[in-house]
Amino acid sequence: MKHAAPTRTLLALYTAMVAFVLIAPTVVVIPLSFTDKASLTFPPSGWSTRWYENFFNDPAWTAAFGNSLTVALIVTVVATAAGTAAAVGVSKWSRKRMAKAAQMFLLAPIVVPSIILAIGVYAIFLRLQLLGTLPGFVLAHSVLAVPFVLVSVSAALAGFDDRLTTAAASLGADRWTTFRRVMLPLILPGVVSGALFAFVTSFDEVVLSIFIKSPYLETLPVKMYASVTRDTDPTIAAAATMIMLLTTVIIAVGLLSMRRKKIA
Amino acid sequence: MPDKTPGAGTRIDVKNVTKRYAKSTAVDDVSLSIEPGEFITLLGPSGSGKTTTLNLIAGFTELTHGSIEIDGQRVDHVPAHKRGLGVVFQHYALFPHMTVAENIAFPLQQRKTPKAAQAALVASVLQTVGLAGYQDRFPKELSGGQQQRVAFARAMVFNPRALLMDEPLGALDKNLREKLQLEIKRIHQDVGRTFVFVTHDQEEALILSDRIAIFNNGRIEQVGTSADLYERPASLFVARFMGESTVFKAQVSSNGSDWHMDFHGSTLHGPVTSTVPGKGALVLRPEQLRVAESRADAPAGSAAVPVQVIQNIYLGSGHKYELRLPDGSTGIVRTPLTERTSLRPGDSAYVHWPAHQGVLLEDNDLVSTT
Repeated sequence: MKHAAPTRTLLALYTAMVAFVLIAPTVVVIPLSFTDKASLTFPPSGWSTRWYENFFNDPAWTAAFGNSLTVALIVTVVATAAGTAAAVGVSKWSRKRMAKAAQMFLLAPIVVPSIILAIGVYAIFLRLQLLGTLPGFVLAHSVLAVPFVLVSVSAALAGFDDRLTTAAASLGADRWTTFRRVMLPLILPGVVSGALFAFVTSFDEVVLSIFIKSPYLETLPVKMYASVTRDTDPTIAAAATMIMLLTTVIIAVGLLSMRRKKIA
Repeated sequence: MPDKTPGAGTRIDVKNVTKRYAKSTAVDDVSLSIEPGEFITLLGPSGSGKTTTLNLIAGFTELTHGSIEIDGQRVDHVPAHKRGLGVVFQHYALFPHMTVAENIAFPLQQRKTPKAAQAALVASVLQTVGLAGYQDRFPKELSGGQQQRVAFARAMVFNPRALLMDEPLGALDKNLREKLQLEIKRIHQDVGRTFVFVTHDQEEALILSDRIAIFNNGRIEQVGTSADLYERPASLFVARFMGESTVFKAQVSSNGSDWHMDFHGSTLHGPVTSTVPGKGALVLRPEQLRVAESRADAPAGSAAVPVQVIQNIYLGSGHKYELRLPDGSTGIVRTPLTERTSLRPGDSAYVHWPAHQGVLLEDNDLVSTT
């Protein structure tokens, strides 16, 4: 669509304004993390990297960071496998109404307020003694991550020609081989973006994690939340900056590599 | 390459097979014996059950009743990937993320063929389908006809027990289709395998097949050679589906040795050869009929019916007449050039034929005239 020059200028201004409102609160964290004062002041009066040093020298912070990475990596594997299997299953279900219902059920975790989910998970984990354990974190985060995988793999499957599986069967391939050699390579972009979302979902999950953490096992966002309520120490800004960069890089790399694959 | 021993083909028996869906019956008590090495075509209009029958043989669809045997062994509960049949689809179904060579090697990998043998087989089959040198292309870099050749190569490379083809030429333009028809026929003669071919194009069926099975409404109306179907159709549907025909419909009576019908004042008759229907339809092919300007011009003893000329078309090899019969239906006559007439559209004339010719069938049309 072509617009007159004044309209275009206005549109650009408006877009810039919306972008600023969206991004500014996030970007403010970066200068905050380089302050030389022991409190969160904006704009910072002097510059230093002491809060990054503090982050990496404090075993509480590095442990939380390590925990977050470990949990997120395992969740990525678990949720991607489960979500992909669910998406394939739902797409092959010949009773469409049941398939739709199953899909809605699987998507529920992103619709239900996480605080409600958190209370339920807490009650069950208490009984099963999963609170503050690695399997507990992986399980809880996977529940939240599966819907993202389901959505992105389902979208990829919509573009998959199911007649190729029939052809593969006629050529002697069993179902598993057909999935591995024919379906998976063709829906891989959807699986990869689902996996990235799963990682990010787990890595910055906070509400559920506060409920299921223990003094022995807590993730980075939980530690940050505790830190901001207790000591308001700029280390949190350093941590936030690193989380932001990590997730941004992951998503950007994922999207770019997928785009390259499509062009090829 | 597939085993070239003549008669090395596989026998396929479809026995009383029914396929029912929730609201419809796609295949209704179909039986068909396919001989080893035979080229059989399942021919019929869309929705007649021919593709479903092929899918049942291939194992893509579960049957409701009946059984399917390959070389005497029941296979109706054997999954598709263990039936060892090659299938070619109308939509090619090549794997888009694999090269031509990878596509063709796929069935060989499933059969754990040694790598070196795979490469040799791929090269050899590409030669057969005329695509040598194309092994590193991706399917989307090929034309439709080339893609279908690759699909053929992929379905044949593992020496399948039989080759099933579901309208493989349906998506191609006419010239290419005719070229590939001849190639398929040549390959069939070379490899001596059982070929089962599905199409709705009767000309294609005539060119390719040893035998043709005509499908209608989920049932087989008739199985036979093209000559059987053209000269001795078993039903009005077959007569109409296989080539052009003129149909005279009337009540039939019989005195045991001869049947008679009164077609709008003209008496038609012939010898009784099978059950005489009550409502009859006498079918004549365009070459069996002649046109005369008056009743007197028709040979004595021949059957004749008054008609009105709709068109008289000069075809070079002869004339083709379109005629209006007394009941309003259209008749078609083809005559050699030696029997020229000066008939013009609108003229009255007679269509005639030796009285014993024609096939008397039951008139099972729902509407009396079409």
